[in-house]
Amino acid sequence: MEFLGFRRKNGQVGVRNHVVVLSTVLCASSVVRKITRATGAVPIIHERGCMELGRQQEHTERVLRGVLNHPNVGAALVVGLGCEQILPDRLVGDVSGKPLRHILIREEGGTKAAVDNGIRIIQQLSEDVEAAERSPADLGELNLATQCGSSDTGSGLASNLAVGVVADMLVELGGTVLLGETASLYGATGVMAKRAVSSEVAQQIIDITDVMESYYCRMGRSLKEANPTPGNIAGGLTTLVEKSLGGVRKGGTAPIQGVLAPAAPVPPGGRGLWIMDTSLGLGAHTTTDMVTGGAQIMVYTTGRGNPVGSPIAPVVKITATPGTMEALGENVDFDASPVLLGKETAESCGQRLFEKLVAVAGGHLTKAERLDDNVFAIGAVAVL
Amino acid sequence: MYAQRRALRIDSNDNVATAIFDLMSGETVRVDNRQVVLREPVPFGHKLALEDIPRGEYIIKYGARIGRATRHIQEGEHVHIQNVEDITDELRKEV
Repeated sequence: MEFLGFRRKNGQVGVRNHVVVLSTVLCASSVVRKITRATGAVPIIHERGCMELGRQQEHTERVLRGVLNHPNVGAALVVGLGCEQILPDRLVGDVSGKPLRHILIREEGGTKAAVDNGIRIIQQLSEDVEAAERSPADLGELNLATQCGSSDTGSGLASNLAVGVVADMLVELGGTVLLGETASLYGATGVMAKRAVSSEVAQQIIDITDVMESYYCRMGRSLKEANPTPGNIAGGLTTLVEKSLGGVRKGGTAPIQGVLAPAAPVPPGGRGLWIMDTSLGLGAHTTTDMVTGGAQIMVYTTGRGNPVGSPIAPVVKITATPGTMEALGENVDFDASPVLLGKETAESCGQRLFEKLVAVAGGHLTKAERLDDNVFAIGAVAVL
Repeated sequence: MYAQRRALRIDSNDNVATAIFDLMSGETVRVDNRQVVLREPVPFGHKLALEDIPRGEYIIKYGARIGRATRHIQEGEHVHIQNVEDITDELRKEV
């Protein structure tokens, strides 16, 4: 099965063709915003890029490199200040197959000069990118990220099951699926470790959940003590295992190929279902990790309705709660409520959702894209 | 199209189903090929026993173990924290 995508020189396929302006460090944010306001390019700004150590710094670098490497990005301008840890030339040097430029505010001679030069560069880059056309690509070339946020009873009963059907269909076609949210994985560790392709991968699944639990313990809490929450219990969830199983169902039922660090790409040749040890924090952080890890598209189940998308990848929002569809219809892309109303099976709903995703991959805009409701945020990593 | 259902069994191995409406005591609920008479109310999102589950046996949902019965649960009973305990640690140790 095919969709129409943007073929990159390095063989990757994008579902969008963005020109982005990326800051390497918080200090360059304002220059990036001024350039993108004047040109319509996509701004990617964040609060990191300096004064970081160890795994946190490595994480930030992976995320920023992931933006530049992303198949949905046709060209990019990187803007730095000139004294930060992660300098633009180092980032750009690792990326091939697309037009990339970089400037330093110090070398340009300040804000105004950097903005003026940045605008000129974007105008040059845009000409190349706008000339690109979509061509047929195999659905098996898609990397699909899965995520849930603002979950409710319908998430575990309908939306996540439908996404799981899609995940299994894509894996069957040779595609890749990412499942994240390590804290939510905790209660399903045993079940997921048994689905690992090797004992090494099983151990990695246990290890990332152990690190997450030890992080909570250092904060004086435990994942077990806090879950399920009183709200979960009132909604009908009885145990942590049940809550976690409802979450991991988004990834479908395929064997687990490996565990990825947050924002790390799937290794060359790797396909199938992968777990990503996504960083701590909100859905927007997890989204950034999975998208910059290489997912061209994301499905996001949201019972109560979360509007946030990504500036790089289309994020398809799904709810099974009829009230949410009514109240937040301008934000939610897909209605899984027929499952919750007993009128449709999760299987049939999943097939509808798959068709929706193929349309989005081919250029159909998501609600978050139309509203330009996007967040790019780099979360914290849990360390022992 | 499927006839409208009032409770969902997610996997054919599950011994519980989840109410997708607020269900009343005495109501007959059809789940796949079986009929269960509810012994108590089961609110939306909560689970009902599709068969007798002896004390110490596992509650199965999503085709997997989600907890253990802390007392004998009769067919048609509300399955929740009053009669189920978590098994997170037990399952982690099995790997």
